[in-house]
Amino acid sequence: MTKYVVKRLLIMIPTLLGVLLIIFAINKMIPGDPAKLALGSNFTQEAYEAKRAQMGLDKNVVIQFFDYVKGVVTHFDLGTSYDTKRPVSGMILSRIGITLKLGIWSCIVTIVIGVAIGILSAVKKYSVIDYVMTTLAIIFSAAPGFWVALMSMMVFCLKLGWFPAGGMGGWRYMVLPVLCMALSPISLVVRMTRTSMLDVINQDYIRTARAKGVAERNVIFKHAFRNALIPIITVIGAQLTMVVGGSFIIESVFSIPGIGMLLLTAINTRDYPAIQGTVLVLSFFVCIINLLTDIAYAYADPRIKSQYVGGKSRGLKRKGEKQDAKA
Amino acid sequence: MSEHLLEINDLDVQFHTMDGTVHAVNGISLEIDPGETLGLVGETGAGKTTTALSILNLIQSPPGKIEHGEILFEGRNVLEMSEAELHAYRGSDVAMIFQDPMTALNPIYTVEYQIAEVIQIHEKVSKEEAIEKAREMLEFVGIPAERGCEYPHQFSGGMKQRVVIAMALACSPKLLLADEPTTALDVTIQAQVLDMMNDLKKKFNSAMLLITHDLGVVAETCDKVAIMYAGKIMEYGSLEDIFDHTAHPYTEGLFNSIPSLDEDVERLKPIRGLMPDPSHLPEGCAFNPRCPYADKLCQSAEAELQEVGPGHYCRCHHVNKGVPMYFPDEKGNELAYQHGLPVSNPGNDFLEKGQKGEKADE
Amino acid sequence: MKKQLIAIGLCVMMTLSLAACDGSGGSSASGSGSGASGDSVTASGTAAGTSDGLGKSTEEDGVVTIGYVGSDDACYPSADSNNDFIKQAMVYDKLFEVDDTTGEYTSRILKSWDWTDDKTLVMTLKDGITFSDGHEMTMDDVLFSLKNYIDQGQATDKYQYFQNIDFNKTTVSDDGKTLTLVYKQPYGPAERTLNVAIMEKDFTEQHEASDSIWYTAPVGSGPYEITDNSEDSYVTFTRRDDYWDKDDYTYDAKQITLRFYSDETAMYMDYQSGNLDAIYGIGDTTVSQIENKGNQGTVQYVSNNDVSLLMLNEDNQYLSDPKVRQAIAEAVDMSYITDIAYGSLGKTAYSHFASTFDCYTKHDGYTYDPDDAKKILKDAGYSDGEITLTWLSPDVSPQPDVGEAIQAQLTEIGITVNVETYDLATTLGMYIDGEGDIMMMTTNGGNPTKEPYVCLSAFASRAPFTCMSIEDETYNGYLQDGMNTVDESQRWEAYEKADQWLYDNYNAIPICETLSAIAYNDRITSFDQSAVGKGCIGNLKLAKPAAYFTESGT
Repeated sequence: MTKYVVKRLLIMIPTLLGVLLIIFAINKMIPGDPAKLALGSNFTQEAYEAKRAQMGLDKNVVIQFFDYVKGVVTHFDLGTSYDTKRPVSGMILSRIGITLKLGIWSCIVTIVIGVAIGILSAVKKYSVIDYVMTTLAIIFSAAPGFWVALMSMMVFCLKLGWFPAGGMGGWRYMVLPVLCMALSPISLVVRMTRTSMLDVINQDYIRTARAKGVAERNVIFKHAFRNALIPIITVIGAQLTMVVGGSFIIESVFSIPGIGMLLLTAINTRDYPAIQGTVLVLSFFVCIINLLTDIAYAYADPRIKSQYVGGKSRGLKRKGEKQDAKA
Repeated sequence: MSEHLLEINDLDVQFHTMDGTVHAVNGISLEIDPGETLGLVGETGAGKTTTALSILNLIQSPPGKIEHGEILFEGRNVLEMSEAELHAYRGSDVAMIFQDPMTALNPIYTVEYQIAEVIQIHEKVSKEEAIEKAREMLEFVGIPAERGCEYPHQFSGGMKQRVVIAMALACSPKLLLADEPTTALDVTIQAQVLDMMNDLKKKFNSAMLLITHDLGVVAETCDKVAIMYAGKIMEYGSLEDIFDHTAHPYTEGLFNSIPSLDEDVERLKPIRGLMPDPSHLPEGCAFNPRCPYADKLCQSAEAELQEVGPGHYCRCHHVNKGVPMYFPDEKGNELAYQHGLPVSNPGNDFLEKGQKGEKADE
Repeated sequence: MKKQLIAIGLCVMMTLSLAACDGSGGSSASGSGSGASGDSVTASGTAAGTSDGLGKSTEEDGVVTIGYVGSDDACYPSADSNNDFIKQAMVYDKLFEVDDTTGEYTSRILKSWDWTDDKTLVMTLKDGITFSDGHEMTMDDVLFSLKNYIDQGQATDKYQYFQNIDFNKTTVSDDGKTLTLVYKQPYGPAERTLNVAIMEKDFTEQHEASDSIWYTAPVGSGPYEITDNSEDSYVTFTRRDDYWDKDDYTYDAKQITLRFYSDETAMYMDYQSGNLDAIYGIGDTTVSQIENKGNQGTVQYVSNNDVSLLMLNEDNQYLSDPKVRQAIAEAVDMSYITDIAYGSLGKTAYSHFASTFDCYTKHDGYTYDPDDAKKILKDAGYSDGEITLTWLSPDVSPQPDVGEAIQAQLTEIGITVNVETYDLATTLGMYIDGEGDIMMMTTNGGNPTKEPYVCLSAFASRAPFTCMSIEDETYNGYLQDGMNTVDESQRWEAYEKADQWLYDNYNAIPICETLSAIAYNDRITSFDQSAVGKGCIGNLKLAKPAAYFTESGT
């Protein structure tokens, strides 16, 4: 298992390099001169040339790329923002916590509420509760995030005055963004949990468990739910990447200075280093989430775990064969 | 209080679905005594599994519903037990072996855990003791104890069925419900498993309800046989009654559709037609559309279960009317019916030949 | 099936009840919105009493929260071209400030200043000015703050202006109280460009401009200091009880939190629900909503001291002809454009300077007369549909709307306009490269010092936005005249001529002046942005002011 994780981590490196290359290429292809932008409206030709040299824009594109990669690898140097003139790594570090906090909380809320409602719907299938929950789930998964955000602001801030409409501060500031961010994933998880649970509940081994005299609660949670986990993990994993990558909608509606907002501003100001750094960090998180999802699979299902382990042993065998051939 | 271990009286189970009401079990009555093996025989869809699940009160509701009837286990009505009583009853008093061992085991738990679970529920033991006992049970069914920590997907079909049997026997149940325990296995393993079940049954002195459509298996293991068709008992009696004195045309049809080792026939004689749709049962005797002897009476009135011999019951309009029923084939049957001639009993033949054949194998 | 229907019915009812929440509240509209003229007009609908949760009495006295749509910036005046006026005015004192009401420039920290000749400005510092870390301010700090604009090398406005200072000849007296500032040549805009925030030399030298301390704890001599912040989210200013000048300037709020919003809707909701006491820099829609509701506090307008101009690229083969430019000037309905662009926050302009400027001359304005415009084109020999022009603008509101309106209006006189919009960065690059025929530009360089040179130099000869530069010698001559003298009357004369020249030659057609609006609830009795330190959100008076800790507070 450890070997599998290490292998997966190593595979991440070319992935991230690829991401870097693509972002770099796109940034170079779109119009707009960052040196002119950095200088603003008043500058001379000499100042412009100096600026280009200072930013390394006068060098060959390939060299620019390798310089950048080298900086990232050796000391997490993501360059200096053209816009704020501060190190991009620092800007990201100061914001990543906010996005992660938002993401982790909304993920917890998604899992707790989504799975609970999903199981309830499955256990009480075709009841009024089931119909209400599934109908709401369909409505909310169809509702666009910003609309939900605005509506919740109107209700909970404007009409009820329970929570502020935006900004950062105590826990009250997190409630609405977290809920809005979690709402669409929740409805997906509810539907997936329900389907998956219904599928599992009809399996023979659930009947076996009941015939053994296992109490209904344990039948649902120990036997059915753990088997229903695989599709649920898939959905949650996919949603989590969406949470990390797509938080900028919620962040900008609720004025939360997270990494999504940083990316948005960076794109607007053609702040190449900030764009590159942000996207790199985001793709890193997506890779990590995918890895965690796969590891979670292994813990949820021993058959998948044995595949991972099996893959490893097969690799060893092949190596052994080669050695045999040499001998 | 009756002396029977299990007594089913007039059990009626229906499934209410969108397409209509399915009459799965229509008023059956059965008894099983301690240590006895009852064979429940019938085609697919006859309501055998539903009957077994009813005994555990495991009919899924909705859509299933036990309309009326009672199931008395040692005098207690299973259908009126509380949830807690049911949990104590299932697995310890009555255990069930399911049809398909491939899907009957939970894929995410080790086999020893799954066996230990039932022990832990019904016996006051620690987790370690339960695991220990589970390993013993594995040895018992012929699986090395150290394989207990493996997962079901690492076992073959026969081994899985052994695990399922070990699980069912783990708490020495008084009644074992075996739902086609050998259907999903290959023939060589079938015999092994059957032997093992017989041995274990004797060892634990359990009674058994053996559900099967294989008359050969019935001949080897059962004391009593009930033939089921469309949710009703068609014929009921001791092994000899059914095999030697077959009374019901359906039972007869079943025997006719089994290949015989002695006779060299080109084609088997299957029962014509199909099992009726349980949501649209035919009027009169449920078997009448397929029955070679059916007459107007059969098409209009339902037959009652009648005693044809001591402890031998048959649900047919034509029994007990002095009409001989044992005919080799359709044409002969009709002739014999017209002339009132006695004819040899095919079930008897089969029983003798089958036993002979087996001896020859050994 | 029945259950399904019940469930759907329940959901529909929930949705409806949600929607019903909004129906309440909207009452009669209260009067006009555009009663704004002059420096600072308070158009208001201050209804009696509190409602909608405004002015929560539970709030602590003297603690104010203000919302602002925009992003946070470092409190490092010389490093960033996007000067963050709001924060800097709280933390720093400025060398010179311009009083909006009198037009005079004043200084809070200088005892006296005097031009000894037209290149030498001698300034004497007041005694007892202390920074928040306890150090006393000297002229070394002032000189450092000026030089820092050059040292940082960033393309701030001041980087340009201070190129004219001869730092070699500039001296500070031994006692550190007097600064003799020497210019290389007479430089008219000198004083008005000296509205620099004074940083502490030692502290600034210790910290890089990129250091996060400029967000968390910058050291200045101003009335407030930053005590809490979350970058790009909020910053909390706490009143300095030891502020050196508190006998002359008292501030009611002991703590002001400025919250940054990326979205005005959210900010407005927080204002309505009482989470914010004031909202700063609000748009036309919010303004009219507040005024229509009538009970949401006071709306106050302040001139932005700028003018939006329709710039015509004289390098274009058609636009180089003054007749074509005149036709365009007459074909565009300024009041209509103003309305769609800024609504009640704009008013038609009649000069290239904002009406708040000292050198403001109100022209008659170009009359909207499409028929005459058509005739002018015909007389000049252009056929219908011959002229095709490109509107180039960033896709930032209201620019694209203006572009489309102008496209429609010019079609009337037979000129085809292609509207092209790009993101801001791309557009600025294209402006620099001289692309685009018609553009809208706002002369916000004059803010807040009302220096006409800053406004007009944006379209002088060799201006960075090549497409907007005007190479005419006469015009550039006027600009030179204004720049090369420190005599105010001569300068105003020169700029008035330049303004007149622009007006006669139709190169830059004034569209409108813009206003900023601020709304505040009844916890705040007045919000003075017109006086010294424009943009200092500390200049507010509270219904329940917080007394200074020491006894000197009134």
